[in-house]
Amino acid sequence: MNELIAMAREFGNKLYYSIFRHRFDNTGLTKSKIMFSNVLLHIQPVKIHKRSVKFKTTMGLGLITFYLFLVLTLTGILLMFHYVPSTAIGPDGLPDAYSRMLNLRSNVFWGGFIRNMHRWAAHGMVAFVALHMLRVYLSGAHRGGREFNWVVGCILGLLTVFLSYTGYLLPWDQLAFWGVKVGTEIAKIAPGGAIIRGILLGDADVGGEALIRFYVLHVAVLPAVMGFLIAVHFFRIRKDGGLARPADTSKEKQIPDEEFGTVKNNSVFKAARSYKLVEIVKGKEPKVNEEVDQMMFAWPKLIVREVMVLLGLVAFLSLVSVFFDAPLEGPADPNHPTNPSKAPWYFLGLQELVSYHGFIGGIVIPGILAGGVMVLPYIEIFLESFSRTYRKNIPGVWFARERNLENALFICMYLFMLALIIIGVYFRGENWSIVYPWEHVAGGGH
Amino acid sequence: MIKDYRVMLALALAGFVLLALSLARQMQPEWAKHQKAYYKQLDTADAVVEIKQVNVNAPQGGIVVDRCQSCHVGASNPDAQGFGQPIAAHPPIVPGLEKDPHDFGKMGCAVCHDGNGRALEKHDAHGEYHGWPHPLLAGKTAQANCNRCHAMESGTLAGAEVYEKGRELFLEKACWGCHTIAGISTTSQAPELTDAGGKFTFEYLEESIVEPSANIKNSKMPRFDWVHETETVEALATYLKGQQKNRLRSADSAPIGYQKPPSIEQRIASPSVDAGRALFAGVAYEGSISRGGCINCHAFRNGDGDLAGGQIGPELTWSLRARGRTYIKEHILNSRSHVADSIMPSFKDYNDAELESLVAYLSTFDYKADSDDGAKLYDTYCLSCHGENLDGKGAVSTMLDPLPRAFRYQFVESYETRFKESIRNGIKGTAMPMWKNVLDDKEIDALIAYIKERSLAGAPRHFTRLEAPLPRPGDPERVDFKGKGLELEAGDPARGGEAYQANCTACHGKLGNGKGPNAYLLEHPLPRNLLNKEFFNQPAVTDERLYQSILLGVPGTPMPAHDHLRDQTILDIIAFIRANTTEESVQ
Repeated sequence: MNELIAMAREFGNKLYYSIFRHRFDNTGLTKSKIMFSNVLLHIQPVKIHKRSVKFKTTMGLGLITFYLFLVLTLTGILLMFHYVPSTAIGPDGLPDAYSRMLNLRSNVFWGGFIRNMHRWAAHGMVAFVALHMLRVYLSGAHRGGREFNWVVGCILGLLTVFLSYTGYLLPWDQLAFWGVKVGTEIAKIAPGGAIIRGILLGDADVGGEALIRFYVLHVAVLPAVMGFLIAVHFFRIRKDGGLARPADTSKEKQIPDEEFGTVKNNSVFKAARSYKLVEIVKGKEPKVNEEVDQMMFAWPKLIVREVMVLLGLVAFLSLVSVFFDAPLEGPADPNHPTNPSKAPWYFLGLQELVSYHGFIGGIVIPGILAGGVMVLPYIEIFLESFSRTYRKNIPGVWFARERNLENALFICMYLFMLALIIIGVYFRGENWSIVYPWEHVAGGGH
Repeated sequence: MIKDYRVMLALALAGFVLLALSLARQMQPEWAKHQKAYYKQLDTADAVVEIKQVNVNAPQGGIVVDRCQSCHVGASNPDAQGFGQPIAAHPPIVPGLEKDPHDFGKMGCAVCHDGNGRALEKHDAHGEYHGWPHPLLAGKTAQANCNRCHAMESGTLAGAEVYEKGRELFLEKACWGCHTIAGISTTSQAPELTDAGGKFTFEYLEESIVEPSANIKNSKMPRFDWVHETETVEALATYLKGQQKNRLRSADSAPIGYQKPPSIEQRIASPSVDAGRALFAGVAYEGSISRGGCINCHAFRNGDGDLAGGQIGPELTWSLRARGRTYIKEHILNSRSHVADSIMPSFKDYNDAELESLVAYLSTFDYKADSDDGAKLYDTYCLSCHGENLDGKGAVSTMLDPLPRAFRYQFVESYETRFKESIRNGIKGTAMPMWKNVLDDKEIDALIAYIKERSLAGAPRHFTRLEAPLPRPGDPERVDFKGKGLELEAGDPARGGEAYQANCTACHGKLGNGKGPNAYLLEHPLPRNLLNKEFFNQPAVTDERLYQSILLGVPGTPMPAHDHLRDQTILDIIAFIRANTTEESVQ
């Protein structure tokens, strides 16, 4: 009998180790193994700086953006099982794409919820990209060797907007049609914009060809590019030595070491802490200063906190999706423009500018803003090099005093765009006239 | 660390609960609740709760997906008579039949009631969201859709009484005079309504009938005084909603209730006063359908002087006497033949007998104000256009073009010599008729005296108009002093056209039709339509008058003085206006 138990245990052990390769004890070795023997976890370092898990450091904004991407991928794949990117008029006189939306809302099990989730997550992702960018800039995390990652991040931001925009057309309702129509009309103003517009739409106007192109971009091309760039973005964070932090963190208030869990030392050399010496990833000398003492095992604290953010996000998205339905209007009708016709909210600042002057508002200002922001760290380096002002840049410090001017300008830019978007969303009525939000007519801008 | 685990657990729980909630809502859809309630009330134990879908075939090969009876499950069950909504039985559609011929199991609900037949949630299904083209037609308004299967162009359909009432109103109230509905009228005054139901929602139609400018800001449609009754508006809107090009049945496949229209419409064959009265009132006459309805826009006075009728066009009590038969007939056939900007619809399909009947009826109006009192005369003959304050804002003025004269003191003092002639012979190309056939000279003098007295009573000061005789070309005495002593030549239309484009278009418009961009901001009266042939070719409108009006402006109107222009330029502009309004030129 005992023999049988022993055999079963042996089998069980073999089975277990073939899958996990480690136990769940408190030794440093195990904590390291958990991280680097798991494909999902090994993206993160085995040991992290204590300040990385503090809320103040990142506010979880980048992580939330990434999770939203995952949620969008998952819900998007589910939606793909039902959606048809066709404007062909179905048997009941509605375009196929649109009647699929009606089906999602009425008789596809859980369809309405999944669509709501996808819609709200998409809007959320655009917003969180902007917030993440603001956080990075205000805490100076785009400097100190991380300049190119900022550029990658900016490209990711533009891709997010473009993904959201291509998805906006797919329901093929009035909101979608006229929102996209306005956006592509703005594109016409740019030099060469008409050609890009033609390539995007595949036609002289938004129609069936545009729908299939937007669909392919939305479900295949852009997510693939995005996935690759996300990998680059994360990889560079690792190679740049983790989250940006000032050289000396000894004065900062940190989460106490006990919070990171006990580490049992079962090494033969009780006094040695050999694992600390393999931490050398970057820098000219081994980390033998106080820095080493600040490094803690990522397992379990970091992982738990990341899961917390994910669970919180899913709970919040579910809450919103249960109680608020994604907008759907009448089927797209090229002959009856909605009045006002509004682009999606993240383009409404642009539309507001265009309403003042097509070329300056539609091309010059947004071009300067988008291009300028993308190369912003290099502008800073350029100015510093040529004026020989070698400032002590403090990466990872919120509102560093040396960076007051830059921070103020950056915040002003955000407030400017935010004001324009708020005007565009809430204060523009019929014929783009100024109205009060409480007189606002439904239509556009969701 | 333990705190982190707790937070994680709480969030996991919250996420799980919310996801479960979303699933629970899917498991317990609205329609299932209604069906359960229905079967419980019916005491049916083993009923299947399911989505009930009807596919209605359309002749074009499409179908109308109809899932309404998933909630309205008792619609065709007489046992569900007293049940509450949405599970109650549908009330009978065709009155007086033992078994209603409409089988909801086959035709569904959306065919008549519109809405979004696919949807299963009330808000969606009733199409109550922004942009859905066909929101629910509740109750009797669904009669608008009888049309989709039953041909209703003629003959009445049992059970469609609201629609029928709307049709009668459309004919009686002379809506057809301006609006085309294929098979009923052919005019181009106002938007065509043949597919009104396909294009507009019921609410939109109702709103536009009551307040024409609600949806189209610059609508010219008059506000009718009979539209405030809800029932009337609803009937008319139901009829208009029923005008749809897209039908589910062709004439051949239409179910019962379809009748071929009678071979030809009955027309009035021999003229009579009675026929004229019927036309005037817009009611049917001896089997003919209504083809008139003058009274909806025009008022008239009976023998006792009591006024009746609409306040949209001029009063007709004197029209025939003042204008004569020929003018009236031509005006009915094509109102713009005499008044360039008249908004009156053209009744061009009237036959001779019908015209003759109308004229005969109009000639029975013989009321006359037997008085020499200026005030009484003014109130009787002038008030409806020129207004009680002599400001040209009488009840019917808004629809007249050009607007009636406002008797401001500057105008009266400048032009009083012209008044007698204007009243006697009327002003061509406008709504001002020739009063010499109605009023004698004594009455006209009394009127002028009254107008002068009232208009000058409140005048703050005396107004004198300068003398400015028309310069003759080549006159050595009258050289163009602003042109450095050059001798004047005859006006040149080409140069005048250039001068016109430089100086006049802001008010008179690029085309000269009086509708320049500034015209909309001006005070009554509005800029003259410079293409109005009838107006410019009457004897009273001399070159001298035009010269003075341009050089000195027209007192009491927004037309300013143009004394900065050279005489030669003014002569050129006059030549330009004349060239546009010769008899041969195209208007």
